[in-house]
Amino acid sequence: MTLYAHVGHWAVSLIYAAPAILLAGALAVSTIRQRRREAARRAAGGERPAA
Amino acid sequence: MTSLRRIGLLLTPLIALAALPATASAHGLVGKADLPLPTWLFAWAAAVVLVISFAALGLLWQQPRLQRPRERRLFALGAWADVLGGVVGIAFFALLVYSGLAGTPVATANFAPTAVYVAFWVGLVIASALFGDLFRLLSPWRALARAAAWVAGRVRPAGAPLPEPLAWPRRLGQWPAVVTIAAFAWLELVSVDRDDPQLLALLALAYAAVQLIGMSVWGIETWSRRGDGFTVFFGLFARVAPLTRRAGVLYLRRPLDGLPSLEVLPGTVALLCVMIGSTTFDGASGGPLWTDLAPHLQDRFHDLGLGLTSAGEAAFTVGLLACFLLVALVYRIGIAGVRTVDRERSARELAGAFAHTLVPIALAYAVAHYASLLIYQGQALGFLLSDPLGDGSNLLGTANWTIDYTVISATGIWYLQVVVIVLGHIGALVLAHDRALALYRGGRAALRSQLWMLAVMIAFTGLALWLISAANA
Repeated sequence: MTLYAHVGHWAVSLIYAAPAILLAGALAVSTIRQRRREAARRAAGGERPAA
Repeated sequence: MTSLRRIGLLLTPLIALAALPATASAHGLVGKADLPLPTWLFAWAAAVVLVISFAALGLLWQQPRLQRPRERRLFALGAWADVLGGVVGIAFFALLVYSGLAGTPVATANFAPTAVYVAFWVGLVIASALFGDLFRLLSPWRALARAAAWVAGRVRPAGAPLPEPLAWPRRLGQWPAVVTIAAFAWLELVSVDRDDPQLLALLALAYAAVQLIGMSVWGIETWSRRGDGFTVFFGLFARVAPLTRRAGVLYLRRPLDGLPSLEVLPGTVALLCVMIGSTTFDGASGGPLWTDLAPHLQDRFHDLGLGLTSAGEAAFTVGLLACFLLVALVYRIGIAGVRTVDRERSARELAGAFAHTLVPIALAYAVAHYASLLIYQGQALGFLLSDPLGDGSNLLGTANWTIDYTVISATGIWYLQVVVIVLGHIGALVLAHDRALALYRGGRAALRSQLWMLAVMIAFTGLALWLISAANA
């Protein structure tokens, strides 16, 4: 509750974290997409997963 | 929707928040530093510098270069250096304890608080990063233990060997150092008695006694490298230095060269998180988030039956622990990211493999955060050494010195802090890049693992700049 009550005081600070959040988010999305592509390729070709 | 538009949509609310007038976040308080740009833009600019550095490293640094230190012998620095350093360290320690016990209880007029929090805790960090492992030379308890061992070796009956020290439990690693540094951080940042000269003197004596017992049980060198929190703490920073002393010889090496060979033991990563986390809390405790939150936390503890002072200390303890965990969490997320491209190594192994990259970050945090304290309060050592008890004496003729607050402006301090933070994180990025090349021999895994470490470095850079901006607000 306290955090929400004073959100205007500290939420602006999130701007400092934006570059890291953007990069980490992009990497996470990229990792998920890559895994999906690999899973689709394995399913299509019946290949064994890479070690 | 294009990628650029998506990014724009993501950024819009953040930019709108940042564009709010300063009074919305700081209640009209005027910043000390006169800056031409909003402070958050410095964080973004620092992130851009890191990204450019990352790209430059990828292009120009394609083979591991730091995994084997290159050292050049300078000159012999024999046992006399240990004796001299030990005498200086014991004299400093004795003055600290004497002034704490016999001097005035007024913290600003007594030598002990400034000696502990400025000369020792901050000054020695910077000196270690510049000149190497000075505390190993200066440590009063190590000097006393070595002197006692030397005397024991002389007076023992011929043929009677000295008892062998116990073997250090592997699982204990450097956890005693973690406890020591966390406890010191608690004293500095949480305890209401942090400036009490008498308490500081008694704690220094108690700590020295524990060190002497530890050295007698596990051996001087083993205890120093594992159990003595301050030797471990300053030793980590000394690995950044271009100088190192080994077997009585002084060597010159490249800065950061001592870090890749860091021996990572149980507790080493935790120690680094405690080091960064304690500085984080020191900065955050002056910012709007904590000043809003702390009274409510204090009320909760007061409702549980604690007195107001104890409730305040409990609230600050929670904040300190939260900062330890926050730093550990950021690093852990980065390691989890690295693990998505390296399934062969466990998260623990990877955390250890990149642990040395946290040292320049810890150094940058410490220097940036305490720069003004060292520059201003460090001058107080001039008159406190002349009047350590605060009783009006003038032993060195410098008791009338005062602190010159015009030596550097608040704006100058700000730019110094930004430069130190960016340089520290570039150093960390270089170390991470070099380690990734050594681990993965180039290729896609190396690139992706470094991208995750880049995210960690940018996160710590943003956090550091947020902290100093809160202090400057």
